[in-house]
Amino acid sequence: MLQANNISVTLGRAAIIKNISLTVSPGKFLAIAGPNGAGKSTLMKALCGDLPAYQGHISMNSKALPDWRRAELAKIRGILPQSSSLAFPLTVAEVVMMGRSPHSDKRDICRDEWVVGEALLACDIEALRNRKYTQLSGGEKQRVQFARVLAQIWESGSDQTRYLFLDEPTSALDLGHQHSILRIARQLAKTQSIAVIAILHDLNLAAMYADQIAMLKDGNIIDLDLPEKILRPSLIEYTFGFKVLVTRHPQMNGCPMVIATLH
Amino acid sequence: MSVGRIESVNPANPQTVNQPKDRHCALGLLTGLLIITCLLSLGSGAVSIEPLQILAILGHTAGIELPWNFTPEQHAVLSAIRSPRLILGLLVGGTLAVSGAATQGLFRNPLADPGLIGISSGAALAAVSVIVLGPLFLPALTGWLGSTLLPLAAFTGGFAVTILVYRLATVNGTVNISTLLLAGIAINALSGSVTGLLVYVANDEQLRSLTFWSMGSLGGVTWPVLLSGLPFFLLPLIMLPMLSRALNALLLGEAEAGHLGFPVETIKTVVIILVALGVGVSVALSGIIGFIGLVTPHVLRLWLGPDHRILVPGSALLGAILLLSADLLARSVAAPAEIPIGIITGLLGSPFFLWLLLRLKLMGN
Repeated sequence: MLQANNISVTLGRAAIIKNISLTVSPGKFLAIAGPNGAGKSTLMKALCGDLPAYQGHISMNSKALPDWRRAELAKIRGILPQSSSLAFPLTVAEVVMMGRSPHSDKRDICRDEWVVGEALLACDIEALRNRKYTQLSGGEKQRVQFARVLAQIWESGSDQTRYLFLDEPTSALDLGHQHSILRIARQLAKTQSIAVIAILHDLNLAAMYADQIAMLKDGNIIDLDLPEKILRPSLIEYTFGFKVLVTRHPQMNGCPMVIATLH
Repeated sequence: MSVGRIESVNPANPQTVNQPKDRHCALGLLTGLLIITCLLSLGSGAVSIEPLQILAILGHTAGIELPWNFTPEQHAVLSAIRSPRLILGLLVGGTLAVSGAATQGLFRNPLADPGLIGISSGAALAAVSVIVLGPLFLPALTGWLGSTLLPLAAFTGGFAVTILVYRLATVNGTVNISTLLLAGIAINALSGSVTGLLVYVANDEQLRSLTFWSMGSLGGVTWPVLLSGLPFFLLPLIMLPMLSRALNALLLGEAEAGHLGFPVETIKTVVIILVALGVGVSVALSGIIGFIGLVTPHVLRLWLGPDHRILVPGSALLGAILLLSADLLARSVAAPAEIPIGIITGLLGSPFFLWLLLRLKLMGN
């Protein structure tokens, strides 16, 4: 379980996030939503322990985050960055194989090869496996990075809860791949009790795949609840300053759908 | 979707499994080439020595008599002049190339080269200052202490420049390559000016060694000097290949490497120290020899891909081959005179660098 109590981050004089508390249980998918500059990425960095200075307490699997050894953390936690600066022509398979490096203390090359193959298959990039990363499109690169993170937490060597952090995982993807990536994330949560924390801009994607949505504005959590409780016209208008209609997904019972209004 | 099918069989992909074999072939090929280059380098010059005679002389030194005749003159030339020169070439070429590969990985940019970003000239500046100013302030500084101080000063200069350049060019955890190269230009210019200034206070003997420093040479090296520098060469040559996996992870980005469990800050510091050591000692013993650190990893990356597990050891081999070939050229084109080796590597390396820029431009980044 991931627990964060009263997290605050201040950069210079500006408070980026203020007194945020949240809990993510094994098997749950938490979406973080909110307008630009609300502090979503900062919150995620704080939860990952990537910020040198924050106030408050974060624990993973009942152990305080600073007490975790990096190498141990890497075995149970995958983090998909918003974008990657990889500028060297590694092949797709080599990039995904890097996800296996935290597990090298009990290395089984065949097993790693197999995990890489499965991750490639899951992300629909099996055909790209020998292509150079630098020659791929933005969306293909994002899927390769997702496959690398999947390979990292593909199987648990222990009974520790595993975590998947996704920072705007669908930003460069086409419609079909947006859904397939989030479907994989949800499936991992449901079948393997992985805890998923994802920053999502598309409220409808959040509604379809997340168990809970945390709505952020100006560094505060406005509300954290089930999608159908969060996605109300009044709360969305308050958060984004934009009028919307909310209807129901015709095929998914109770799943809200957000539609922009005409001005 | 196939998530969670963990119980199925393990079909290994034949293509990727074969890859290590190809790589071992490549390393074998490079080793073979290096041996040929060594034999050529040992054999050519004013006194020519046949490969079999080289074997016989080496055997004779080790106490094994082989059935090929050689003259005492050949024996003397080989053991006192060409062997130390060959070993210096092997060490400098290998170290510069390995340092180049590691620097490019650390800065996540294929244009980062110890020479271009000023590490070499920082090391040279420190060495030159010690040569010219040392006797003024520390007149007693001669002999063994003097010869150890020089690599040490070169190391310190290289180290200081590496830290400075890294700090200057890193913004929010990403390395800005234009700042990096501009900082290199500034440091190279500063080093050039200060060296120019020192020329005025230098005496004749110092002047010759200043020329040596700015243009590079493998000549004139003796066994004691070589031995005093040996640990500084061996540390980066042995330890940088051991950091290959971490360098691979660093290609993804510093945060990403940390998320894969690598102690990024420690690795960065260790790589910087090793590169500064290697470049420092290379500059101290052979002057500034440019472009080996840039060209070697590049050629290998085009051939074998950017995986440091093959790139770093491969660079050590190819760097030695390239430097020994350049040295062979330097002492044979105008024989019996000798062209400074830095001129040869510069003549061949600069067009390569321009081609590289053009290629990057055409690729659109």
